[in-house]
Amino acid sequence: MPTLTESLDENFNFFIKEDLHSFKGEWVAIINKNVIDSGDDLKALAERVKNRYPKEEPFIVRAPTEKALIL
Amino acid sequence: MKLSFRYTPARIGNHQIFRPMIPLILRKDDRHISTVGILDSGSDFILIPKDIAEYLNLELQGDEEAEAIGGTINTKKSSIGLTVSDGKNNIYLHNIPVEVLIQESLKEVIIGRIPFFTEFDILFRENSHRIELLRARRR
Repeated sequence: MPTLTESLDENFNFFIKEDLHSFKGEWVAIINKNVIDSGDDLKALAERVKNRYPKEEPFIVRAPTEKALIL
Repeated sequence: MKLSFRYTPARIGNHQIFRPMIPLILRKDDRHISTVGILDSGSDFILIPKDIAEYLNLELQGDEEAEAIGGTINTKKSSIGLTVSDGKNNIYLHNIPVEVLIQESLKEVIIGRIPFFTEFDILFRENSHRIELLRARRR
Protein backbone atom coordinates (compact mmCIF):
# COMPACT_ATOMS: atom_id res chain seq x y z
CA MET A 1 0.00 0.00 0.00
CA PRO A 2 1.57 3.32 -1.02
CA THR A 3 1.95 6.08 1.55
CA LEU A 4 -0.05 9.31 1.29
CA THR A 5 2.84 11.16 -0.29
CA GLU A 6 3.65 8.30 -2.69
CA SER A 7 0.01 8.36 -3.88
CA LEU A 8 0.18 12.16 -4.15
CA ASP A 9 3.27 12.02 -6.35
CA GLU A 10 1.95 9.20 -8.54
CA ASN A 11 -1.42 10.82 -9.12
CA PHE A 12 0.02 14.33 -9.62
CA ASN A 13 2.25 12.96 -12.38
CA PHE A 14 -0.80 11.31 -13.95
CA PHE A 15 -2.74 14.60 -13.66
CA ILE A 16 -0.12 16.64 -15.52
CA LYS A 17 0.04 14.13 -18.39
CA GLU A 18 -3.63 13.24 -18.73
CA ASP A 19 -6.02 15.10 -21.00
CA LEU A 20 -8.91 16.05 -18.68
CA HIS A 21 -10.57 18.19 -21.34
CA SER A 22 -13.86 16.31 -21.13
CA PHE A 23 -14.17 17.14 -17.40
CA LYS A 24 -13.37 20.84 -17.74
CA GLY A 25 -14.31 22.84 -14.65
CA GLU A 26 -15.40 19.78 -12.68
CA TRP A 27 -13.77 18.30 -9.61
CA VAL A 28 -12.08 15.05 -10.61
CA ALA A 29 -11.02 12.19 -8.31
CA ILE A 30 -7.96 10.17 -9.34
CA ILE A 31 -6.88 6.90 -7.75
CA ASN A 32 -3.99 4.73 -8.93
CA LYS A 33 -3.57 6.79 -12.10
CA ASN A 34 -7.25 6.46 -13.08
CA VAL A 35 -10.03 9.03 -13.08
CA ILE A 36 -12.65 7.22 -11.03
CA ASP A 37 -15.34 9.90 -10.53
CA SER A 38 -16.12 13.57 -11.12
CA GLY A 39 -18.71 16.20 -10.29
CA ASP A 40 -19.41 19.84 -9.46
CA ASP A 41 -19.89 19.21 -5.71
CA LEU A 42 -16.53 18.49 -4.08
CA LYS A 43 -17.96 17.27 -0.77
CA ALA A 44 -20.39 14.85 -2.47
CA LEU A 45 -17.64 13.58 -4.76
CA ALA A 46 -15.26 12.97 -1.86
CA GLU A 47 -17.94 11.10 0.09
CA ARG A 48 -18.81 8.89 -2.90
CA VAL A 49 -15.16 8.04 -3.44
CA LYS A 50 -14.60 7.34 0.26
CA ASN A 51 -17.56 4.93 0.28
CA ARG A 52 -16.43 3.11 -2.88
CA TYR A 53 -12.68 3.05 -2.15
CA PRO A 54 -12.32 3.32 1.64
CA LYS A 55 -8.68 2.21 1.67
CA GLU A 56 -7.45 4.35 -1.20
CA GLU A 57 -6.19 7.92 -1.15
CA PRO A 58 -7.92 9.98 -3.85
CA PHE A 59 -6.22 12.92 -5.51
CA ILE A 60 -8.92 15.53 -6.05
CA VAL A 61 -8.35 18.38 -8.46
CA ARG A 62 -10.37 20.73 -10.56
CA ALA A 63 -9.98 19.85 -14.23
CA PRO A 64 -8.71 22.93 -16.08
CA THR A 65 -11.10 24.96 -18.19
CA GLU A 66 -10.00 26.52 -21.47
CA LYS A 67 -9.98 29.97 -19.88
CA ALA A 68 -6.78 31.81 -18.99
CA LEU A 69 -6.02 32.31 -15.31
CA ILE A 70 -5.22 35.92 -14.45
CA LEU A 71 -4.72 36.23 -10.69
CA MET B 1 16.45 20.07 0.89
CA LYS B 2 15.20 20.65 -2.66
CA LEU B 3 11.87 19.61 -4.19
CA SER B 4 11.34 19.71 -7.93
CA PHE B 5 8.16 19.66 -10.01
CA ARG B 6 7.22 19.91 -13.65
CA TYR B 7 4.82 22.66 -14.74
CA THR B 8 1.25 21.55 -15.46
CA PRO B 9 0.11 21.92 -19.08
CA ALA B 10 -3.26 23.47 -19.86
CA ARG B 11 -4.96 24.23 -23.14
CA ILE B 12 -6.42 27.64 -23.97
CA GLY B 13 -8.04 27.46 -27.38
CA ASN B 14 -5.33 26.30 -29.76
CA HIS B 15 -2.51 27.21 -27.40
CA GLN B 16 -0.85 25.07 -24.78
CA ILE B 17 0.38 26.93 -21.72
CA PHE B 18 2.19 25.70 -18.60
CA ARG B 19 1.31 26.59 -15.02
CA PRO B 20 3.45 26.40 -11.85
CA MET B 21 1.26 24.00 -9.88
CA ILE B 22 2.47 21.78 -7.08
CA PRO B 23 0.91 18.75 -5.35
CA LEU B 24 -0.26 19.35 -1.79
CA ILE B 25 -1.94 17.59 1.10
CA LEU B 26 -4.10 20.05 3.05
CA ARG B 27 -5.05 18.97 6.57
CA LYS B 28 -7.32 20.02 9.38
CA ASP B 29 -7.74 17.76 12.40
CA ASP B 30 -8.77 14.31 11.10
CA ARG B 31 -9.59 15.44 7.55
CA HIS B 32 -7.27 15.95 4.61
CA ILE B 33 -7.34 16.35 0.86
CA SER B 34 -4.66 15.57 -1.73
CA THR B 35 -4.82 18.25 -4.42
CA VAL B 36 -2.81 20.92 -6.23
CA GLY B 37 -2.07 24.60 -5.69
CA ILE B 38 -0.79 27.25 -8.06
CA LEU B 39 2.21 29.29 -6.96
CA ASP B 40 1.49 33.02 -7.19
CA SER B 41 4.14 35.49 -6.07
CA GLY B 42 1.66 38.34 -6.65
CA SER B 43 -0.70 37.14 -3.93
CA ASP B 44 0.01 38.14 -0.37
CA PHE B 45 -1.57 35.08 1.25
CA ILE B 46 -2.61 31.49 0.63
CA LEU B 47 -6.17 31.40 -0.69
CA ILE B 48 -8.38 28.33 -0.24
CA PRO B 49 -11.61 27.97 -2.27
CA LYS B 50 -14.84 27.65 -0.34
CA ASP B 51 -15.42 24.04 -1.53
CA ILE B 52 -12.18 22.79 0.02
CA ALA B 53 -12.71 24.83 3.20
CA GLU B 54 -16.13 23.20 3.65
CA TYR B 55 -14.75 19.72 2.99
CA LEU B 56 -12.03 20.22 5.62
CA ASN B 57 -14.53 21.76 8.08
CA LEU B 58 -12.29 24.78 8.51
CA GLU B 59 -13.20 27.13 11.30
CA LEU B 60 -13.63 30.56 9.72
CA GLN B 61 -12.93 33.81 11.50
CA GLY B 62 -13.36 37.50 10.76
CA ASP B 63 -14.54 39.26 7.66
CA GLU B 64 -11.75 40.41 5.40
CA GLU B 65 -11.63 42.24 2.11
CA ALA B 66 -8.85 41.87 -0.44
CA GLU B 67 -8.10 43.54 -3.74
CA ALA B 68 -8.10 41.20 -6.72
CA ILE B 69 -8.40 41.39 -10.46
CA GLY B 70 -11.98 42.42 -11.04
CA GLY B 71 -12.48 44.19 -7.71
CA THR B 72 -12.83 43.46 -4.03
CA ILE B 73 -13.21 39.89 -2.79
CA ASN B 74 -14.44 38.74 0.62
CA THR B 75 -12.43 36.27 2.63
CA LYS B 76 -12.31 34.77 6.10
CA LYS B 77 -9.26 33.68 8.05
CA SER B 78 -8.44 30.10 8.99
CA SER B 79 -5.47 27.77 9.42
CA ILE B 80 -4.40 24.42 7.99
CA GLY B 81 -1.53 21.96 7.89
CA LEU B 82 0.13 21.66 4.50
CA THR B 83 2.39 18.92 3.14
CA VAL B 84 4.32 19.38 -0.07
CA SER B 85 6.06 16.38 -1.60
CA ASP B 86 7.84 15.53 -4.83
CA GLY B 87 7.81 11.81 -4.05
CA LYS B 88 11.36 11.90 -2.69
CA ASN B 89 11.16 14.60 -0.06
CA ASN B 90 8.22 15.72 2.06
CA ILE B 91 7.89 18.95 3.99
CA TYR B 92 5.07 19.61 6.43
CA LEU B 93 4.07 23.10 7.45
CA HIS B 94 2.04 23.05 10.65
CA ASN B 95 -0.86 25.37 11.39
CA ILE B 96 -0.28 27.99 8.73
CA PRO B 97 -2.63 30.93 8.17
CA VAL B 98 -4.86 30.94 5.08
CA GLU B 99 -7.61 33.07 3.65
CA VAL B 100 -10.81 31.35 2.55
CA LEU B 101 -12.60 32.81 -0.45
CA ILE B 102 -16.28 33.29 0.32
CA GLN B 103 -17.41 33.70 -3.29
CA GLU B 104 -17.47 30.57 -5.42
CA SER B 105 -15.87 32.34 -8.37
CA LEU B 106 -12.47 30.70 -8.06
CA LYS B 107 -11.81 27.00 -7.46
CA GLU B 108 -8.01 27.03 -7.40
CA VAL B 109 -5.80 26.85 -4.33
CA ILE B 110 -3.57 29.91 -4.63
CA ILE B 111 -0.21 29.59 -2.91
CA GLY B 112 0.67 33.20 -2.14
CA ARG B 113 3.77 34.49 -0.40
CA ILE B 114 2.85 34.48 3.29
CA PRO B 115 3.99 32.12 4.70
CA PHE B 116 4.90 29.74 1.85
CA PHE B 117 7.48 31.97 0.16
CA THR B 118 9.18 32.59 3.50
CA GLU B 119 9.50 28.83 4.08
CA PHE B 120 11.01 28.18 0.62
CA ASP B 121 13.26 29.90 -1.86
CA ILE B 122 11.40 29.27 -5.09
CA LEU B 123 12.91 29.08 -8.54
CA PHE B 124 10.57 29.29 -11.52
CA ARG B 125 12.42 27.72 -14.45
CA GLU B 126 9.93 29.11 -16.94
CA ASN B 127 11.80 27.99 -20.04
CA SER B 128 12.27 24.39 -18.93
CA HIS B 129 8.83 24.27 -17.23
CA ARG B 130 10.14 23.29 -13.84
CA ILE B 131 9.74 24.63 -10.32
CA GLU B 132 12.32 24.14 -7.58
CA LEU B 133 11.56 24.66 -3.92
CA LEU B 134 14.53 25.04 -1.62
CA ARG B 135 13.86 24.97 2.10
CA ALA B 136 14.81 28.46 3.26
CA ARG B 137 17.56 28.92 5.79
CA ARG B 138 16.38 30.74 8.87
CA ARG B 139 18.53 33.60 10.14
